[in-house]
Amino acid sequence: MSINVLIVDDSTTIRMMIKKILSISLPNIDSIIEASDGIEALARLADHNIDIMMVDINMPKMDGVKLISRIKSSPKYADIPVIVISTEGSEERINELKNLGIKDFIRKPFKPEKLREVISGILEIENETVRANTEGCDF
Amino acid sequence: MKQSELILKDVISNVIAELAMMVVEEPEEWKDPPHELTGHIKFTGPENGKVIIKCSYDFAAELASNLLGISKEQITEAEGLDAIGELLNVICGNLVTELFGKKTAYILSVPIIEWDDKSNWSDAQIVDSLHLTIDGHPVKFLLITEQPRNNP
Repeated sequence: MSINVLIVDDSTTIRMMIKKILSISLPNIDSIIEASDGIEALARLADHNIDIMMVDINMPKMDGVKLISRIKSSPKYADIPVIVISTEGSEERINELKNLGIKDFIRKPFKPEKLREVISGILEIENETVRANTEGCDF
Repeated sequence: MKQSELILKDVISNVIAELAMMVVEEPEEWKDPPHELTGHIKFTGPENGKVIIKCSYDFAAELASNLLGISKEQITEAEGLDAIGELLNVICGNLVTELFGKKTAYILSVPIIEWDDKSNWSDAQIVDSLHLTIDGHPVKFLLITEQPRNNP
């Protein structure tokens, strides 16, 4: 199964770092798409079939919290797993994000192994769900 | 060293080590070098303030090189400046929880990095000032909180 990943972060450095980690650790990635803020991310979502998203919080134009609220309230995008990668560490913000329905939260600075572990875990669950939903189907 | 300075130094050392695998040290002697870059990021919440960095472009390029795993010569100016912005962002995010606790969310501004120091801190109060060397580069950090306004 090939997957498309969307990385949303206003820092080109962080986008390049995440891209490098993903390319090395996940061979089944089909494409890595980038956006530098929430507005750009919504445009990328409209143009591509995204399987998983990595979203920063502190961004210009539209921040991560607003972006995630928009995604989770859209029937078209609500099921896309979202991982937040941010410098935020407050209980208030993490609870707000959990209530919005994010899959996981990684605090910056992070080790590449942490990102690999979180993504692998999410993709495994997604694959199992797909398998369970298609078992017994005739098509 | 004050408690808040120790926290600032700890946060900077941990972030730099984890993010870029660079070593932070306190120099025995400090002579203000000509800093080419000044960056700042604001935090807003129950306490308001700024974290400021002053450094050379050479440090910015070396930081970007470590973060991206490419040689310093290949680093563009935009990548160097972006690396400093991201460093400030991560330091500030970790600093506010260490200084003020994990309960309340703080809003961080987008970091601004400039070639010349155009900043005007006249309405502010410097809380802490740290002179460090990071892999041999002199780097200065300032923590500023807003002057409490006196109600008439």
